Amino acid sequence: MRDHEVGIDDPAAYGRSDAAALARRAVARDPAAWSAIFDAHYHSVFGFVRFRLRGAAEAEDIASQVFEVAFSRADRFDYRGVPIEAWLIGIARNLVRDHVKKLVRRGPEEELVEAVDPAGPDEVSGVDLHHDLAAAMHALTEDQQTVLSLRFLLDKSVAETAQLMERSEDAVKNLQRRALAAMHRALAGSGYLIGEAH
Amino acid sequence: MDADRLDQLVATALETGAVPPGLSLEERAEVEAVLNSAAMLRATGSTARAEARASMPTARARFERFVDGASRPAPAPIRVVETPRTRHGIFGGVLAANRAITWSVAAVVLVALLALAGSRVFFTGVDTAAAFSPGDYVQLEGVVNAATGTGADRQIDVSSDIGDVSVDVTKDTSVVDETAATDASAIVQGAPVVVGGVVGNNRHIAANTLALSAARGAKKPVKVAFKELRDLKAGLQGRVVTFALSPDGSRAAVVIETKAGERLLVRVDAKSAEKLLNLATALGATVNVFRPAEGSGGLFSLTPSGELPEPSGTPATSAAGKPVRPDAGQSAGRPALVSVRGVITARQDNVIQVQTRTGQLTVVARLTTRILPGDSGLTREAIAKGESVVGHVAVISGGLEPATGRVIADVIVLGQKLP
Repeated sequence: MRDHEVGIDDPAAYGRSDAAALARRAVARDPAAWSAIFDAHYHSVFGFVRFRLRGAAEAEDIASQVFEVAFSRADRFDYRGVPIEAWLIGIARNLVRDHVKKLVRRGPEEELVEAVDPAGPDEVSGVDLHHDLAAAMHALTEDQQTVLSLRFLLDKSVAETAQLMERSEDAVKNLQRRALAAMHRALAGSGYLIGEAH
Repeated sequence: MDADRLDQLVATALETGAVPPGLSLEERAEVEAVLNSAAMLRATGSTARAEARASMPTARARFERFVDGASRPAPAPIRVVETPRTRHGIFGGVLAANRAITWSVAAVVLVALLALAGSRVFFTGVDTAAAFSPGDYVQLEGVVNAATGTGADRQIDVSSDIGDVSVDVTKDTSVVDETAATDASAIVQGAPVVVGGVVGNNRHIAANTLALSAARGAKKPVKVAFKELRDLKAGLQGRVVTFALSPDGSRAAVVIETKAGERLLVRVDAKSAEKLLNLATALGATVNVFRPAEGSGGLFSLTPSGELPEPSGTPATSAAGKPVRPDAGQSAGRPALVSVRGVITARQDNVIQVQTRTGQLTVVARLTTRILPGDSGLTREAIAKGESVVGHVAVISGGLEPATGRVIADVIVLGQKLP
């Protein structure tokens, strides 16, 4: 895994045929192709799972699993213009869902709350918004969590989010508004957004 | 309210960052609410990116091992060879039967120890490894050895007092020179630099702030093996060359250079860290080290000597159109993080207003920002739960937001509440 290809999903640098060629190499489990895929998408996958998990170490573990699962199932990847990233995000979503289910089965509710806390107060002192933010995120539907993760944690555009979620752009706009409004209500419920007056 | 219209209004507001004109009160309230939530999420994204950068080398190594393992042909089936039975004593028999297991366990333990060493040890010395761990916030100074990358993303090799480190600079990193905000293109070989960032694995630091100086020809720090201070019989004085703070701010460590040129790693208590961060520049400060107090868990205490920061001006724009540092002119030709002192007059979410002696400043706290209670009388828990900090003195160190000139806080140390 020494050959790197950077920016494989950048349409300006690589056309659709390049992405298709990379996908074919990925299906054939070409290590150099997988190295490029890892470099191009690790940050996105990590960012996507991070907010729903207990800490950075857990996110690193799940993000690593995403690539291992993808590599193992490479022969099942059907490239028909579907970005590799969408496939990876789909795997990430399933792994996080399974992980959280395990936590629910395993223990008390505190553990579940902890599981969706991106960084508790013990980990980052004084950063007082993330605990409530994580709890609010947990109150959203899975689709709402996904749209917020893609749009605001991964900085994807509406068009990119629509492609990754296999929805129309209008549907994404609607979903993001409802998700943000739901998050605001959850945060306001905890008194958080009221904050202090200027 | 029409849902489609609202969807579009929200989409436009998210695109532009502003509430579109001509809205009804109801529409305006909804758009403002979602903009607030989006801003908070984006702030969180910045932390996730820093963590992703820090974790990537370990994750990559794991994936490479996985791919290598999966690509290797399956081992041939094990052939069981009958060996003549040997008579053993009771314990000998047990040992013989378990010899294979023992070797396997030993191998696993060895691999685990190596993996642990690879993932946790940041610095080469055994003593320093425990003090500088992934997740710690660190301030260090050095000289740029090499800078690679393009645009806002650079990887900088820095020779520092604690050895060579690799510093990751991204679009989230605030880059400042002695007078103003600048950009990553200003990071060139030979430039003296101060880095404030989060320790990752494999000697990587994800930079929150990177301060440069225009001076050239600075000597690279001499590589000196350093020891951890274990016992202190008499007074000790030294100059701080590196500072590190644990994620929860409860412990800190400094590397000091003594007059004899010896470098010592000193683990210090939270109060000492706060005193140090209250200075205009923690790095370079002269400190006196005192024995651990009762109940301090063996942590030493420090009394620094240095000047408190005072901003020299209100936010301004340089001739080059870049925001000017509020503390411009105070670094005496050395690279230094932006440092200001004032009273917090308001807070909205993660944005605080600070009244300094010379004007009003806006300060942004990111998720990576460490907030220390200092002399505020507040606890970390209370601050984390949103206890009001308005009216408290605060010393802030960090960088500048290039677009707005707002101060981006790496660390905030709170002080007493003014009447």
